[in-house]
Formats: sequence, C-alpha cells, structure tokens
Amino acid sequence: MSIRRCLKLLTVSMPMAFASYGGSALADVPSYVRIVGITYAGSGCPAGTVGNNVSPDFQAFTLLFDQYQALAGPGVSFSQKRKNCQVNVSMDIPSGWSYTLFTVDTRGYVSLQPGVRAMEQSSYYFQGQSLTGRQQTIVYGPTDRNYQATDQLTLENQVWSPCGAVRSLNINTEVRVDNSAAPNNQGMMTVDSIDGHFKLIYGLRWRRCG
Amino acid sequence: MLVFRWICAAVLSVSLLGPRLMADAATAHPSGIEGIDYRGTGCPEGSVAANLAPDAQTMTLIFSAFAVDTSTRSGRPMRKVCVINIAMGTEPGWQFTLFGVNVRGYANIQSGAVGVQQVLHSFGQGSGQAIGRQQLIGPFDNNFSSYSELPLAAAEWSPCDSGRHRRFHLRTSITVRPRLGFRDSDGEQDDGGKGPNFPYGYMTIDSIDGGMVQQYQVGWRRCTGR
Repeated sequence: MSIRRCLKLLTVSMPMAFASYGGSALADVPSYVRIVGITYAGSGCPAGTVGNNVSPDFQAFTLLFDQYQALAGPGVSFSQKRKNCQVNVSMDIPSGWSYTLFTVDTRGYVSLQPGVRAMEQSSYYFQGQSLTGRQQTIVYGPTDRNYQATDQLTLENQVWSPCGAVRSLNINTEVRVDNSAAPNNQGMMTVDSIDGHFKLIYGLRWRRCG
Repeated sequence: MLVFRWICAAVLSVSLLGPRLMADAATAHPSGIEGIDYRGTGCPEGSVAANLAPDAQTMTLIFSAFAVDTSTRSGRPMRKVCVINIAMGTEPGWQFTLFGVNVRGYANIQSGAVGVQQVLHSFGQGSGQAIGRQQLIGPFDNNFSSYSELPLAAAEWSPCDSGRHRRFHLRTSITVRPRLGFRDSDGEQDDGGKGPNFPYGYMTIDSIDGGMVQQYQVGWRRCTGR
C-alpha cells in the first residue's frame, strides 16, 4: 500500500479515531479491533485437532492442541522429529492503525535423554509479505519437565501490518527434537503434559500509521 | 476434485467487516483474486487452510500434509506437488502486471542427500515455466523460504483488449533424493535410488502466500491508449 494512500487514510480517519476515544485518549488502542477469523493447518494440527477461543474483547485468543508433539529416537522417522502448526488470524481494524504481535506464551512438556536437544520456535509474518520475525527456545537433555516459553517481541523483530490494507497475521509455531548427537537416545517435546492440551495465548499490540 | 471458492469466503469476510471495507475493495483496486482451487499429492482435500485478504489482493494457503520423508523408504527419492489454480478478475481498461509468491517451509536433509523446492507457472495446459527454484544440500536442518515473481503484463495472458477474467496455475513441488554422484559406504557410486541405505531427508512446505505486488502500485496498471 502506498504512502500516499496511507496518508489519505490517516487524514480521513484520525479525527474520528480521536473523537471516539472520548476521555481515554491516552489509551494506545484504536476505537475498535476485532479478531474476525482463525484458520490453521500443519503437521501438528491437522483438521479437527484444535480448539480455539477468542477473548470477550476480541484482542486475544487461545488455542488448544490435541496431538502436537515431536519425537526422536532409534527407528523414529524424520517426519516425527519436527511438527508445526501455522495459525492465520484475520483482524478487523480501523483505517490508520497498524498492529503487531506482542507476546506468545507456549506451554508444554519436554522429556529428553542425555545428548538430545529440543527446540520450540515461533515465526511471524503478515499475509503476502516476505519479512519474518522469529523467536526460539532451546532445551537440552537430560530433562523431564513442563515448560513455558514466552516470546516477547522486541523492536528488532517486530513485524507490523501494512498501513491501509487489512492483512491477516500468520503465526507458524514448531517443535523439533534432535538426537543426532546421541542416536540411541530418545526425546519428545510436546505441549501436552497433563491434560492433553497444548496451550498458546496470544496478545496483539497496536500503533498508529504515519 | 477439490474446489475452494474464494468468492464465498470473500463475501463472508466483507459481510463481517461491514460496508466500509466493501467500498474500499470496490474502489481501491481495479483487479484482484476472484477464486482459487488446488489439487495434488501435496494438498489433498481437508489438509489446507486458506485465507484471502478482504481487498482480494493477497492470499495465504497453509498445508498440513505437504511433506516428503525418505527415511520411511530407505532414502529412495520422493516428491510431492500441489497445483494452485488462480482466477483473476479486473475492471475494463486495466491489466495485471506482477504477481509475487512466498514459499515457506522446513527441511532436515542428511549429508549426501538434497532437497529441491520449485515453483512453476503456466497459463494453460502443460508443465509450465520455472519462476523459482531452491536446492538445499545436506547436511541441512532449518527453515527455508523463497520469493519469486511472475510478470503478467509481458504475457499474452493479460491483454488490454479482451475479457476481464483470467486464470493461471502455480505448480509447487518438493523433492528429496540422494545427491547425484553420491557414494555409499562401500564407495560405490549409486545415484539412481537402487541401493538399500541412502541418506535420508524430510522436507515440508508450511505455507504459500501469493498476491499482487504492491510496493510501487504495479500489481496492475491502466491500459494505455484508452
């Protein structure tokens, strides 16, 4: 979207945006924001294995996974060593605002024998764009515990939605287990420790265009 | 035959988003994606999630089963393909110029094996012409991505003087195989997949994004002489 178009949108929408704030002009949130749709696919979340919930203010959502786990060990096929789930979130936002992802909390369970390594990674991009933000957490065996990975996006890896166009946010999460340094040992990384669910909580962050 | 009708999705999105966006979509862009369907070993029915932007300029496809794993077949070569058929529509007096394609995925390739990801396009029947190719030589264990552009204005496909609906195809494939000239443990050259224990590889495409290239407003242009 061109700068010209973005400026035009700003000119038109900013007075309205300020007006709609009323007494809360300091709140850095546009007058309305809504998550209007979530779709997903991936080796870790085939159709029918995900539950999702959008918060009452439509600014956060939760995903619950039934069978999202990576495994490594003797005789385990390569495709088991890495699982992913990409989530596409459609937003309705006012003209003149842009948004980015704020935090991602990934919770799960990891069990690794000595010499086995596991990784959780989240990649972010806006529909149609090449720029990708990425955060990862690496765990070394031996270990056997629940984990929580909180990705707090910094200024360096923040990816903002384009101004003046509505583009959905893509969040590609993945877990990998690597036993190449200890081929006889096993490991698993799942996000399904006790209740059989992998849980992600997302928050969104906003800024004005221009 | 697997068919996903974007038009319905677009109408649904627009109705959720209200009349403001509908007006935007109608006035801001003289052309856009009208419909899409896909088929192939990499995108069987029920394994793809799709999203089209409300202004119909950009789409995202996410895959659950677009993966090859040669560790389950003693390292013998394996390939998967997904052909995406994209229907475009434009206002009279405009033509398409440039379509961009982002492919993202992951590969875990052992030394001695290679993974190849390729994007071809065609305007009709036939295998088409390559617009992007990426070769990952093992050892490799990481995400990969590629961006390629399809110039539409240069093609007969997007003429100024005929109908407003056009269709083109994107054929995306992934292949994992032993490297040509690979020598196995006894030093014997074997590049045809005949031996029992080739190096393994796993390769997957997670998502494909495609749409009008917008940086310089060249996704479409007004026809001259009108």
